[in-house]
Amino acid sequence: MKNQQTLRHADFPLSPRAGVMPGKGAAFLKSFRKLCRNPLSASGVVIVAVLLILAMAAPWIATHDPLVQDLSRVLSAPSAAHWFGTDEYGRDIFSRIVYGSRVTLYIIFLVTIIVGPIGLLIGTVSGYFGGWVDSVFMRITDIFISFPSLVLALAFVAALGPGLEHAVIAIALTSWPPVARLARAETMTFRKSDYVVAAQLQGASAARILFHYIAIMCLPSLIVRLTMNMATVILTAAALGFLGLGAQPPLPEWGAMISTGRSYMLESWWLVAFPGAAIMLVSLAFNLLGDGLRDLLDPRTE
Amino acid sequence: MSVLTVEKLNVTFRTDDGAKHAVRDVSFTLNNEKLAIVGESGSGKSTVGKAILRLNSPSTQVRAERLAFRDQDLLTCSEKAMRTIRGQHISMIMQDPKFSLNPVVSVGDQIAEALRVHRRISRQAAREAALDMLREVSISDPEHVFDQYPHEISGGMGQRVMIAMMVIPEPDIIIADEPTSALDVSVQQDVLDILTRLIEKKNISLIFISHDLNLVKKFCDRVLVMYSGQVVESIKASDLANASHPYTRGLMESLPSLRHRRATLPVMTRDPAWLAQGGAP
Amino acid sequence: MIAIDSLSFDVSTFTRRKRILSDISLEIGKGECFGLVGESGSGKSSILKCLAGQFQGWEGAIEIEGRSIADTPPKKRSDTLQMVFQDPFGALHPRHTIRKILSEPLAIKGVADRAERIEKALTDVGLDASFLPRYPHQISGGQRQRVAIARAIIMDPSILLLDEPTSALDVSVQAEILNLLASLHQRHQLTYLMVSHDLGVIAHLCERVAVMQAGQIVEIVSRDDLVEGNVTHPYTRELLEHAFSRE
Repeated sequence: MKNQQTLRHADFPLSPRAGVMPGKGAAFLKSFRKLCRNPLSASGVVIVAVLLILAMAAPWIATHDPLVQDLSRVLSAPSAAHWFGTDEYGRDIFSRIVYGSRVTLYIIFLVTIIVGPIGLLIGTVSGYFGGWVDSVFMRITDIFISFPSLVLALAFVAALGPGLEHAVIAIALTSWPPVARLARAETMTFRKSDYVVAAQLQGASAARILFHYIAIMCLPSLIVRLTMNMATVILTAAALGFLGLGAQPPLPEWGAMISTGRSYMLESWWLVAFPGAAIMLVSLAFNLLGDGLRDLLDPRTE
Repeated sequence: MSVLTVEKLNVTFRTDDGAKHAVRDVSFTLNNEKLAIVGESGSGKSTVGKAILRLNSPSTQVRAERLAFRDQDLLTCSEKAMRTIRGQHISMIMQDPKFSLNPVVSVGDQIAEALRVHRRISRQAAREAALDMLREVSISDPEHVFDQYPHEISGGMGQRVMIAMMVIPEPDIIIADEPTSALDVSVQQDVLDILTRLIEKKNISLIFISHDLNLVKKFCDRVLVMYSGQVVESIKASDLANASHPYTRGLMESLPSLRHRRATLPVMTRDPAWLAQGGAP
Repeated sequence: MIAIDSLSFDVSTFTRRKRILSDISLEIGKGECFGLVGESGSGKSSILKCLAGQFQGWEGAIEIEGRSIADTPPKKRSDTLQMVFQDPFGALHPRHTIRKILSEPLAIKGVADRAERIEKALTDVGLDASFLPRYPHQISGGQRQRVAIARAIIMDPSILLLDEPTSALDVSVQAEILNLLASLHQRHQLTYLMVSHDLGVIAHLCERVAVMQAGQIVEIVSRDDLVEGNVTHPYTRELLEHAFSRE
């Protein structure tokens, strides 16, 4: 019989349906290309890349020493010698902005390094255990969230004293609650899933489940959130600098530059315009990048 | 004359990994009958149903030599003409009523609305017609159910409401995509009986999309068996016992049977030649 | 092997208490295949969840190998009892490779010869080592379910809880998985407790079947009686008629 050839009684044959395995590098390249296909997120990528290059190669890109004063050239307008003009001490604004990118990145990096793990830990623990653990953690989070973040940061810096590191700590203290809430919400969607139940049935400890099963699932949306958060961090840092509570002179910090330039703003617009444009551009870039990453990493927006 | 003509229908999805050819050269005509499209997941059976109503996502490419409802070409007609077709001439019943009913409108109003979109009748007349329709789908207490919301009724009840909603404009064709797979076994039969009774009474043609050959062979007239985007066999339901294609036979025989228990179930080996042959005659 | 005595379980919401299981009593012998059949909401999956420790606060007594599970710690329970889930997609962590999925149970128990055990479990379910570096989304539904079964048997449990293990699969794949389960049952002397809404699937694998309706067992019948139509309860008869009419 013809049919008997294709119908066979076997113990456990394999359906020949296995897919082809792309390598990890290829997968990364593919997602990067997908990210750059959207012009908005591509411009975000470009600006952030430029910022990174500026910070790393600052000594070679900057045309002058950012700290050296030249009192013979005070408040000179943008020209071939000083592309963005000079400030009230004759310092080159272009060079100060280039070096300022280091300060900005330093703040972003430190804040993210502090906020990410804290938010992830508090969020996943309270989401996974629920009950009174959840209540305690979330009430603490609520307290932090109920203050406007700038006011809270101001209070912390006022207590700790002005300075870059203190500004970082203050910003970090005010920006973990949204991250924790996000991680908690994500955790609650995963904690009842079959693979978590399977791990529990194998006798996995709570710590193991949190680290190996849940944290890894929260990461994509957390990365998106942290990227978007960077824009806010830049603005808060600039605001603290503007109020004289962040980076201290003569350190070239963009917010502080605007603050001192304010007194000369009417006759020397370049003192305020260029650092302002830098802040705007970079925070916009992080927002665009975050949006792009969300489309890429978060399947729910599709 | 046939109600629906499909000739060499091809559907391609654009994905990140390039184009995926989901439906290849599918041809059939639908007369006044009950036609089943059967296949496993990924065989393209639902895609065919959606392509007929142009419900695929924008990135999907649909090509055909001919795709026509009576004399009207469905590939080239305007979106406005398509909307008329969708409600008045061809309608679709989805798998899970939970997702296809509007959760914030009472079920009765949804049925009445389905009628009022296509006919100029008063609100009162539409309500009467909807109540009649609920009676037709064997709902014993239509006045009560009319005012209930989708979350208050059971799955079986929801699917009856869906049927009522799709049948009330008296379309020419109903496409039912796995209408009973989300339901319990005992309810499945009732829903099928209601569907069959109504389409016979109102003279509606049916395209019944399902993964279950044994279910389909009992109440459909003709069966198209799809495998990997192609129709591998087109056969009268009454002839299924003598189906010639190994895939069709495999689908029927791999099901565990109460009457004839076998120690091991026969398992299909998929033969690449099934696709090379280019489908059924 | 498994003894359940007058098990009841209530779920309370804000407004009312709902009885999910009422007065369930069962005995399942060593090496037996026992089936639970019923419609959605009949409580069949809830029995599995009570056994697996996913539900707390039930009343009655559950014993596994003569020990009450109420005083067995979860880690100890996992040595004897494992579970296979309905949805082969949800049961495997989407960001773990097959290697990681299979080595997790071994890592938790601190087993030494991991590579050999993983290979043996994979061969047992009809897969090979080429699957190890893949992720669940890179393999087919049937293969995913095989991996889930491999994970369940890798620590040599004596009991497998099967929660609709084939209902999310195509019929041809269902046949492969049912054959695999039948062959594992023989080779490893496993005890199965299987839940399904499909009488045909249950009767294929199980020697005895409990028919459930609204949280109660209405009848326990043997496979032979089922096939012959020797059933007493009208609900069993109804289910049976539907199953026969589909063949």
